[in-house]
Amino acid sequence: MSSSLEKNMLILRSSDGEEFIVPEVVAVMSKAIKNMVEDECASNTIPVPNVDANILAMVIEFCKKHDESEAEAASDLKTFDSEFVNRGQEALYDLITAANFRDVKELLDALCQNVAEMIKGKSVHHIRIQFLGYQLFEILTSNFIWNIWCDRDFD
Amino acid sequence: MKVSNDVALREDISASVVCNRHFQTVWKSLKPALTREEVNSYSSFMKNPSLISSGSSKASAKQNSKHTTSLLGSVSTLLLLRLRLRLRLRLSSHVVSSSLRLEPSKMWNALTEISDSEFTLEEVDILKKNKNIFKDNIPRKEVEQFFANLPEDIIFEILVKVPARDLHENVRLVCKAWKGMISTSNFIAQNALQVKPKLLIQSVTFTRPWYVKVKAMEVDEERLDYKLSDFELPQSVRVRSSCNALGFDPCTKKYKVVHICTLLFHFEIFTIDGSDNAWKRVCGPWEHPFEWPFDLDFCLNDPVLVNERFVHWYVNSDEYVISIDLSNERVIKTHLPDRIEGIDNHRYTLLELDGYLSLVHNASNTQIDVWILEDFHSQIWLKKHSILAESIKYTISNDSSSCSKQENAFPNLSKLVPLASTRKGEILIFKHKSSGTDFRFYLYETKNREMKKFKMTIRAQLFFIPHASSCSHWRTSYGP
Repeated sequence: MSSSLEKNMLILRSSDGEEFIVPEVVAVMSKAIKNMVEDECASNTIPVPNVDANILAMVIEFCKKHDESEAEAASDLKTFDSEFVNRGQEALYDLITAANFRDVKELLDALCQNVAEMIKGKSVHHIRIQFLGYQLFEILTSNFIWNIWCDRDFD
Repeated sequence: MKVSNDVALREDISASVVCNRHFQTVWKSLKPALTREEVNSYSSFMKNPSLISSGSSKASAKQNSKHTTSLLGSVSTLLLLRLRLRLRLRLSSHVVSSSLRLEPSKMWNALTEISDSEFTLEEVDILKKNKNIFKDNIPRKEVEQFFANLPEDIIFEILVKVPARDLHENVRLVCKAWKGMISTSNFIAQNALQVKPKLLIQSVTFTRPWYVKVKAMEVDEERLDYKLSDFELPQSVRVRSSCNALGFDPCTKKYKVVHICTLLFHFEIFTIDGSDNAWKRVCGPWEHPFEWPFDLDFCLNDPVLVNERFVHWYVNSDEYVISIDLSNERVIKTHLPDRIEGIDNHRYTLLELDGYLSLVHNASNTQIDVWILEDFHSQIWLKKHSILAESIKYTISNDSSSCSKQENAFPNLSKLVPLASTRKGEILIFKHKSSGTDFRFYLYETKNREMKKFKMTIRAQLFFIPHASSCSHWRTSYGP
C-alpha cells in the first residue's frame, strides 16, 4: 500500500503486471470494480486479470472521457464513441471481452453498436467468414456438395 | 490404430496404454499413398476425361482419401478441388475444411477458376471487395471465430442493434443458433425498440393505371436534416397503416385489424392468428345517423395509433375523436381538451407523440399548441408546448434556396399541418397546406426552437404514415 497516493485514486494492475493510477470516479464506471470498492474488499491495488495493459489503457481512456464530458454535449460524446470503437476486429474482440468482464455498460453498448454496424449490409457468407471463422472453402465445398447431392443419379 | 498398437507393443511388451507418441511414430512412418506422378496423372485425366474408367478412379479415391493432409504440400489448390469433384466428394465437408487451411492468395486463384459452383459471381465479387478480411497475418483463433467465442448475451446485445431488414435477409441465415435467437419474441420486441422511426411518403396518382410510389424518409437526429430511401413493397398498394402500427393487444399478444363500416354504425375487429378467424362486430359510439358529426361524403382518414394499442380517428367533430382500446375492444368518444375555447374542427390534427395521442392545434397565425392526452381512461389533456412564431429560429435548406422570396418567407403557422414526430417527440414534421407543385415541409425542433424548410418535387397526391421496421411477422395456419 502506498500512502503517498491520494485518497481517491486507485491502482489497476493489468494481467501483464503494468499498473495504472486512476481516479476512483473513473474506475467505478466498471460495475465489477465498483462492487469491489463498495465492499471494501480491495486494497488500493486492484488486479484486473484477463485484461492486458494495452486494452486496459483503452478502457481507461474511454471511461475518463465519459467521466469528464458528462456535462458536455451528447453529440460530442457520440462522435468520440464512434471513433473510439472504430478499431480492428482483434482489438474489438478484446475490448468486448474486457467490457463484459468488468461490466462497463457504456463501453459495451458502444462496442455492440459498432459490431452491429459491421454486420449491416453484409451477405450471409461474408458474415460467416468474418465473424464465425468459416473458411472460404467450407462455404465453397458445402455448395459443391449440395450441387452434387442435388444432381446425383443414384447409380 | 492397429499399427500404433504394434509400435507400443514393440517398445514394451507389457504396454497397456497406447499414447500419442506412438501415433506420432506411426504417422511419420506412413508414406503418402498418392505420389506426385499419380497426381499428375489425375490432372491429365481432367484434361481428357474420356480416358478415365470411372471404376478405377473411384477405387483409388477410397484408398487415398485418408492421406490428403500429407498431400497438401505438393498439390495445387485448384487441382485438389478438381480432384475432389472427381472423387464425387466422398469426403464430408468437415474433412475437407480441416485439411484445407490454405493461403489466402491461393484461395482467390482457385475461386476465380471455379465456374460450376452455385456460389454466384456477385457474391464472389462482394467477398473480393472485402479481401482485407483475409489478411496475411492470420488473427488469433478466437478472434477469427469472433462470435463463436462471445457469450450469448453479448451476441444478443449485438444482433439486437442490427436493423430488421438485415436480420431478415442475411443474419437469420447465418447459423441455427442465430436464427433461434432472432425468432424469439423477446428479441423481436427488443429489436423494435432500437429502430428509428421513419415516415413513409406515398405518392399516389389517380389516373389509370394506379400507381403508388413509396419512399421512406428518415430524419437525421443530429442536424435537422433528412434522408430519403426507396421503400419496396411487394405490390403497388397504398399502405393504410404500418406493420408495427397494426393494432396490438398487449394482453393476448395478438395483432388486430380494425374495419369500420361507416354506413352501418359498427366496427369490426379481426384478430390475426386468433382462434376463430372471423371478424368480430363491435358497436360504434353512435346509435343513430343523426348523431354523426360528419356528412355522408366524409371520408375517415388513416387512424392514429398510440402505443400500438389505442386507435384514434378524426371524425370532423369539434367535440371529440373516436378511439378504440384494442384490449377491451370498446369504441368510445375521446373528448377534446375543454380548455381550448372555440376549437374549430378544421384547425386541429391528431398525431402520435412519444407514446401519447397528441392534438396539434393551429391556434392562430402565429401560434401552434401541442396537447397530449396524458391519461386515456380518465381523459386528461396536457399542453405540452406552444410554438410561437416570434421565438422560432428559421432557416432554409440548400435545395430550396432557388425558390422565390415569397415562398421562402416564414410560413403562416395556421397553414402548417403536422405529419409525424420523431426523436421522442422532439422533432415535429409539418407540411404546408397550400397545394403547389412542390411539396414543402418543415422540420421543427422543440428544444432549440429551430425550424428548417425543405422542398421536394413530387407531382401526386401524398399520404404519410409513420413507420418503423421490425422483425414481427404473421404466420397464418389457414393459408396455403
